[in-house]
Amino acid sequence: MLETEKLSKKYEHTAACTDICLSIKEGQVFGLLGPNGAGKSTLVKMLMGLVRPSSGKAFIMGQAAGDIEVRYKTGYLPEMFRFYDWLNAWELLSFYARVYQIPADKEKLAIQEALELVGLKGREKGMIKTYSKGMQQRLGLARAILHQPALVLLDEPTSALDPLGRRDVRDAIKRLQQRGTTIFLNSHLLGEVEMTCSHLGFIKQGHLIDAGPIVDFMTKEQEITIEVDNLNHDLFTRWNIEGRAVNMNDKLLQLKAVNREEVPIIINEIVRAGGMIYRVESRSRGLEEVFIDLIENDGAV
Amino acid sequence: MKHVIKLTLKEVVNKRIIHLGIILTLIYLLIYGTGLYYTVKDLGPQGEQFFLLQQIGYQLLILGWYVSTFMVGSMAVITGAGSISQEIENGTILGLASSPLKRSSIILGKFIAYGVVTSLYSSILLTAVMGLNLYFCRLVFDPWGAAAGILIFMLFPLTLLVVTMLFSSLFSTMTAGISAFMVFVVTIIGGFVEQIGALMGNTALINIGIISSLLMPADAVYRLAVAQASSTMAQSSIVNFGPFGTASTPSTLMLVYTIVYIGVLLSAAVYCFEKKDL
Repeated sequence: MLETEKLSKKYEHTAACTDICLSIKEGQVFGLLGPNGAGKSTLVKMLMGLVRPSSGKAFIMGQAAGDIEVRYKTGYLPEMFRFYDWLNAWELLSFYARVYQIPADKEKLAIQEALELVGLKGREKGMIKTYSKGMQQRLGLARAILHQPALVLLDEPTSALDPLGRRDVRDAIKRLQQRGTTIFLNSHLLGEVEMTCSHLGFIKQGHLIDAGPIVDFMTKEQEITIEVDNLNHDLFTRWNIEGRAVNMNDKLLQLKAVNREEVPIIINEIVRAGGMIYRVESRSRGLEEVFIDLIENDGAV
Repeated sequence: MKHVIKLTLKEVVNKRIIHLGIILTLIYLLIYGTGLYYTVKDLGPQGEQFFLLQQIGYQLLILGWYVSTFMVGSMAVITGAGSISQEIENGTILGLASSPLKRSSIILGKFIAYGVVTSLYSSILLTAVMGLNLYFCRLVFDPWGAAAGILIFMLFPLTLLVVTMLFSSLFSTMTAGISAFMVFVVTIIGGFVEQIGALMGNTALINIGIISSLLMPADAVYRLAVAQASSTMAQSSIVNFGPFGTASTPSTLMLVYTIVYIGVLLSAAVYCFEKKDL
């Protein structure tokens, strides 16, 4: 659905994106995470043809990103969303319905569906200048999905929304996913991403430092707590050397940075060395921990 | 492109500054008409004074046209200055440029819509000025010649508009507006210098005017329009005498140059906008 090959954008003194290689399959909800200024919005803008790449290529549905044909199949909600405030919501969506060549007999239904999906039904005749920022963001989402695109790129879609609004957008994204729409989501809000996305990418200083299914990030490097008696001290020393951040308190052994596959191996090692295990608990890391670990501890790129 | 034209026309109708411009235009016409009324009242339409009235009437007509160039010019700069840059500054362009519209369609659509509005505005304004003179001073002129003059004058706002839109695709709204207005002032001064040069028989001054007209042919278009409109007037020689008139009439080739100029600058605006990161 979406492929980039060493996609880069360099400005006079800075590199906004460097050699981004990304692959998003049909139906995925991909969340791109990164601190402010990491290059998230620039990447999305390159995918939409709004910013010209310095080098590299990007393809959407097999065609060059930014092509007119591709734009018919793509929806986009920019981070800096603003609309013609001298129009009302219906007029704005009607304008875009014509731009996207939605047949006249289907225009009304398409607008109604989009408004309903974002929770703006009944407010469509209000002038946009009277809308709150949150309502404008909902309208932006309605515009992005109006023509039922196969791919939707959302740049910070919940930044102006209150918790109820965020829930509505989450629900909207889920409904889009059920339709088979592929979604590319830029967000600072880790909780939103955790609840919404199937795949993640982490970007730092313009470099994509890691990407993959969200379940891999969450189950990778878990923390396990083992209630154990008669633990062999050599094992304890070895785990410390391996950098597993071992902690032993009374009979509770805490081990960090353990992959899911390693849990039975560790238990087996303890038992074989004469240890008596009474209880094992494993805890997946939250996305916040994953994010901080990758972004903060990964060092300068 | 038709969607952009419709949207832009709707935007113009909703712009407060346009509403203000229309109100100021009506005030201008009211003041101008009042001036004509008192001129006629003092001179009276009889005998030798009627001849004097005709002479003053023609001078006031050209003065009215000349003042109108500033109003039309301001309207073209105001509408064109934010045409691209303001949309970039406030983010509305992201919606438009990410849709299946070509960037060239956005520029051309806006140019056509603003061009129609400013050309219409200029023709209504000039017609109103002529109408007031016709009513108060009973000027004698061929309506077809006047219409041809007004038609030529419609190129005036288009030259200013295309320069302003080119600047708008390159700079911020403020910079675009100020730069376009400065170019306009330079061409006006160039036009003055050319007319004075023609009256003095000074070739150097005439050449300065020609160079400024090549930079932006707005003043040349104005002079050509006046020459066309005044050619059928009984007192046109009087009209031609003065900095607002056509002591030095540009070649009709300037019309061709103006049309080519608009085409080239419009292509440059499209090129700059297509290359721009949004």
